Amino acid sequence: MFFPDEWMLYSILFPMTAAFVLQLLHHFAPARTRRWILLSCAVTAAITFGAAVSACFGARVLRVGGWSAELGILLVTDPLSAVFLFISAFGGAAAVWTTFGPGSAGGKDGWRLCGLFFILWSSLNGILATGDLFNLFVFFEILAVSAYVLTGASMTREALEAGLKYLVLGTVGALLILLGMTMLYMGAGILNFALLSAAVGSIPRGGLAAASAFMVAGLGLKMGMVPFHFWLPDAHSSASTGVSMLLSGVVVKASFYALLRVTTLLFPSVQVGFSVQEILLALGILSLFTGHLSAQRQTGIKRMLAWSTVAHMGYLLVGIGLGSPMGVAGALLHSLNHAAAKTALFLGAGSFSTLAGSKEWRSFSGLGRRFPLQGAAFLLLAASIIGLPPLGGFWGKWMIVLAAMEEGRWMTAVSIELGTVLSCIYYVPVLLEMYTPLRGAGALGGGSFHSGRIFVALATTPLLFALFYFVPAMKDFLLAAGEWALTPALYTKAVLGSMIP
Amino acid sequence: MISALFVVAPQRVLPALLAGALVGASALYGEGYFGDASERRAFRALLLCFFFPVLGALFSAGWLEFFVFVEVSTVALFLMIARKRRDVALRYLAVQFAGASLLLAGVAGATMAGIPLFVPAPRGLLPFFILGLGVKAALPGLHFWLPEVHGTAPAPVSALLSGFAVKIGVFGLLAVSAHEPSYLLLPAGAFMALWGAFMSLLQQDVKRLLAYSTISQLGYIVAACGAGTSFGVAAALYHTTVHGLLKGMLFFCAGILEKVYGTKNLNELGGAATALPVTFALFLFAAATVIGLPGTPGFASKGLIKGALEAFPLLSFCFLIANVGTAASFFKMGTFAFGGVRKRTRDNIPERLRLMNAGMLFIFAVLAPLALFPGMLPLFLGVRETSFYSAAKCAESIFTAACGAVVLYAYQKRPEFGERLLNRLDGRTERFLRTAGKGSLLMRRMQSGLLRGYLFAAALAALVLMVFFSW
Repeated sequence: MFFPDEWMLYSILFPMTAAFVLQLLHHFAPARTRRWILLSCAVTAAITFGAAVSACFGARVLRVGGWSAELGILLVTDPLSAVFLFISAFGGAAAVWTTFGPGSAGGKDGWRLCGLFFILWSSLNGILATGDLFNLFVFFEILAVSAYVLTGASMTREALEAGLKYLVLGTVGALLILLGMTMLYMGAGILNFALLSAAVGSIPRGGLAAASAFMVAGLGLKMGMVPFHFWLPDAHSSASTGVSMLLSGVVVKASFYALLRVTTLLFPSVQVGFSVQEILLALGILSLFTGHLSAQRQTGIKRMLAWSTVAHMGYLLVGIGLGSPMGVAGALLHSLNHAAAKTALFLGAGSFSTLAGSKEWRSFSGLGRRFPLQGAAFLLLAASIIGLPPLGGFWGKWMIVLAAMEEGRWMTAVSIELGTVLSCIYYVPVLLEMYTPLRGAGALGGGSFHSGRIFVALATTPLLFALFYFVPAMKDFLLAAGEWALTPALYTKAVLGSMIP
Repeated sequence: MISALFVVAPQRVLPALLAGALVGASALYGEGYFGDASERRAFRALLLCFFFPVLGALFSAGWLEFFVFVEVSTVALFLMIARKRRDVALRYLAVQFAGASLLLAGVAGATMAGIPLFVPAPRGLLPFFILGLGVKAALPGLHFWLPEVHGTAPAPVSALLSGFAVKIGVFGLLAVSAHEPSYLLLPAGAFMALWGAFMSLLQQDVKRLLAYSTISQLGYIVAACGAGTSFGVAAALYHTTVHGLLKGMLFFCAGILEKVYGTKNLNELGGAATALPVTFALFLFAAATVIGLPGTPGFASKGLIKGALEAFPLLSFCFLIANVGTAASFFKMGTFAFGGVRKRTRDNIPERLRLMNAGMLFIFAVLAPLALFPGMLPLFLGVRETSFYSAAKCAESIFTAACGAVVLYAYQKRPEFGERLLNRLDGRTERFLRTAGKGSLLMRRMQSGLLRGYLFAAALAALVLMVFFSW
């Protein structure tokens, strides 16, 4: 409404430019680099936020270069992408601030990575704003390259190995996406989402089914869907704090967005033995149980959080697999909650690990008492992610459960809540250890909590997101976004309607 | 919005008063029970964290609010137990949340259909409610957590658990049950009563004895719920109140014994009648109430329940037998702990003992009017019962108590007789769950760390997806 359509473009261009300009600036004024980085971060976040707000009320279409839909690239944002743009804005800002903010080590030598951070951020916004299938692939590749390097950037043996695994598996995923895309192009001759969505009926059924299989496999791999999730625990746990925050909080959500867009726009009619949605539902439940059960035996806090991400991606898949607006709305609310909570939890885990001197959560003895505010924040975030009512994390699950019972799928509903039981089993011992250690608090080195203010600020989100369910305007917004997701005709009309010269 | 969220009605006010009385008594008792000042502070804080959500749950109009408040109160109880035994507390939390999973499905269905509390739920949703609430109410098969948790928690926490937390499950069952006899709840109640009564006879640990006795008395309440009449509902609520209060008193008593003698084992206790006279007197009152001797509130409440179940003579007979078992187990507790040779006390701090006894006296003060005016509470619930003290009823109750004494005498001759078999049966459910939990090992083995394995798995999965999609 108040923001012109070009803001979508700026949200992609600005960080990309900043990535390169910052390297130049460092050459001329090394002492000021940190300040410039933070300034760029703030501006990018503001632009992305603006793009998100402008998309909240309806679809926005931008024809880049003035080319029409068949030939050119369109940028399209609608209420569905608005949710994820919010996540990108705040998650990206939190990650960059943690890595380069005042008091962090990133300022001195680690400044070089700022380029990669901004390229990653730009590609995220690209994925969220694009209206073209090939453009999606290009941005995924840019995202992938920067993510692989950032994962290994801390240069420990573990990180390099994890980065390599992410690289190999991610390339396999990209290959699968490319294959799917190729089949769609061969069948329909177009790559624009809206036009393709209208033309999908002309693609032969077998080809469409194969294309959907490849796309789901490829995008699922990028998202950490079981059984393509194997790279995720390694990569997310070995990366440095800021990178883990970005990967677990924002990158997997962007991949989820891509999966949601592609399956609802292009494959709603694929119904052979099972529909795409039923398969996503089944894979979602599988991810849920795998993630939660695997997290239980973990002794490293970051690995535990990474497996928890796998499980929560399962919730999102179940949400869209139910195929009703309430289900999608629940998945969106849960994305918001999980992004905020997981970002903050990785930040907290990183800071507590530094203070305790080890990544094992058993070494966190008594840290909750030494840092009462941050400990309480961690407690609140963990409780929200477990799904305890009345905190924010519960309401996303509640909407998904409502949607499941609406369809009569009671086993799905029970599985969702069983996830709460299973996540208690591994989060609660960590919390108990932080507050009432079994063997007395270790005499640890001093030091203050790194990025404490961001952490505490992020920790207000569980309470904030609880409001989403109760404030009618917000709940209606989520349900409207759900409707948008499930009705390809709305999207097509909005995009092509603006094509009339 | 407040009026839409909460509803006030007699059947909700009564459990709320019970909660208030128990929380007050526990606060008083806890001052004496916990030796450490920080423990006392934590207990007081957690008591409040428990009390207010519970009130919210009891007065909530809709199922979603009920669910949210019950979950929060479960967390408060978990924290209270975790201060003493972390592993037991974690198991308690896991089991309660697992029950909540099933309950949530029912709550979702009820919310969509717009069904509030105390309106019978449609048939399709009933299993979710019964199973979910049944975990809290310790229905047979879902009760496996109760003896361990109630037996190992600190005494005032056990009082809250046995006295109130399980009653929330029953309250939920009342709120969802139809106005017709439930052929699920009736036999379940009878089975619970018998099982609990005879398992409690076998126990050596005084708190486990009381925990099984809770299961037994819950059986009475569940069966009264299942009767489906408003008389049954009133009987269930009356017995809930009486049992909640007296189980609180009994757990306080067990806590006193634990603190004074340093042990919970009945074989090592003894002679407390002379050492702790006030406690003994209060124990006698409480035991008489559980057994249902005339003149106690338990007599009136059991009489009401038997009246509600008049239409089912077989069940009434089962409850008679269960009563014999209850009598036997409480005679056992009395003779072992309070009678017999006087054992050495550990340390006897008069200050703290006085506070603990004060807690018990508080409950006695609440129960005594119920003994004197048994008709008062049923009238509050809308049921008029005049013939509490008929000759037949008095004779029956004294006779069952006498049978209980005989059973105890016979059992003491050959104590190992049912012990091994019944104890083995009871642990089976818990062991099954423990083995089921080992499934996570398989998952862990698959995450081998080798890239080859990952690629193979991804390729295989892509292939399988292809097959599914093009089937």
